[in-house]
Amino acid sequence: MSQKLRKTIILNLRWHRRIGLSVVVMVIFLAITGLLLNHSPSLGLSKQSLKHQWLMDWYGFENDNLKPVERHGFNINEKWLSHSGHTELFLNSKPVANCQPPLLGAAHFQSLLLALCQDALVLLTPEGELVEKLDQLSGLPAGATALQVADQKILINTGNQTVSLDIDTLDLLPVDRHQKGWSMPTPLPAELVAQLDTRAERPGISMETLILDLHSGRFFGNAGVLFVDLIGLLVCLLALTGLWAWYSHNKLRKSGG
Amino acid sequence: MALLLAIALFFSGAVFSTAALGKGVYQTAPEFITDVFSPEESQQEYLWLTPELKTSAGVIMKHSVRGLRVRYWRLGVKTAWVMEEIGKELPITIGVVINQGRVEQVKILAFRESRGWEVRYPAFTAQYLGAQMTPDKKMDTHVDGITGATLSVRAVTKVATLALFYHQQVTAAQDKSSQNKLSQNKETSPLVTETP
Repeated sequence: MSQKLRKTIILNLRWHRRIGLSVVVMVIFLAITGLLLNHSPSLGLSKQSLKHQWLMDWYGFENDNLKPVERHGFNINEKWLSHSGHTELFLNSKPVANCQPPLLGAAHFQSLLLALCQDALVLLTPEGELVEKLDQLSGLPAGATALQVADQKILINTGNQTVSLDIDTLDLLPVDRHQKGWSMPTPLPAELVAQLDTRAERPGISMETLILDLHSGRFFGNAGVLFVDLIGLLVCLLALTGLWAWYSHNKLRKSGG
Repeated sequence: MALLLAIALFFSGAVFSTAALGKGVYQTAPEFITDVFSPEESQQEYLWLTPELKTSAGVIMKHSVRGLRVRYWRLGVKTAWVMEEIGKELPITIGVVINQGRVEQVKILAFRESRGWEVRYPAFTAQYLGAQMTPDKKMDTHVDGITGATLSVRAVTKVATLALFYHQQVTAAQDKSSQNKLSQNKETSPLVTETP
């Protein structure tokens, strides 16, 4: 009995050592990445954006992030309003607000510049300072597609109807007759396009996403996930063989072996 | 094994469906204002943000505040504010009602992220009721956090504190203007007396 138990203990310890050695690097790696993810908010990992070209290629981001449609803009009093295609609204080459693309219309109203984005109507001073952003939650009509100012009224086309919007009271009034003269985008001057290209925000991968993908193995695709699964199973096995080593060692000692 | 798989699927399904339920627009700003005041009662006003106000607001929010004006609704000493703050990556739209310098209501109007939506529960937002602003521009009430919703809780707390600060500004401005009116009246009519 004692001899048989001794053999089992040796075999168990041998496998315990083998498993331990094979997972040591990965366990340390998973522990460090896990700690980082646990403290991600305080470390600000989600705010750190990585824009290395190899990483962008790995995640499948296109090299040229400015699509041809975003090279158009609206000329308002010799100033150009355009959208980067990601989140930034530009007045000439200056980023002035965040809104969702595309930029659907722009107009000059009293002393303000108006820019109609997919999700909001942005009010700016002529210098490009943000005054206010009105979205659907504030009362902007849903499905806005075009903008114009006519007879000192802000008109918004929603596809089905045209409404006039009072930006002070947020009152909406349907306008009966079909309106023409909606603001239309025109190609941006080449010089401005060059300036925007140098300033354009590039998409990036947050540090948190990268660490999470490395931790889960997803960074290396399905094979990476399966590999991390395997490591997980081996760690479980390591714990079981360790437990068995402790238990059998006690049993052997009690039996006087 | 099959039983384990069934249990896992059940729990993952429950988690995903709950997360999906948490996201969305619960109420628009006009609906929120109608709930707080009768539409005819409240007056829509703006607080124009001077550089000094922006600096103080930036300290409360822990980042610079964009925009030159903030829209609010008012009836006497009660004001209602609808503001946005980013939880983790996307903005949370929050409605806050302040009455006589105290928080009367906090309501999540829209939540766009997949985690942290528990802040919308009245059991959580009730913690803000009665909160006031301390002289160092902080809220005098401790708010218990929610596990897994730390950033959302922070966002709601910052917006509630900012609403208290803005309320203080608009009521202080009103007090100043009514004092000016009073002193003008005193000069013209000796019968008008200052109320304690």
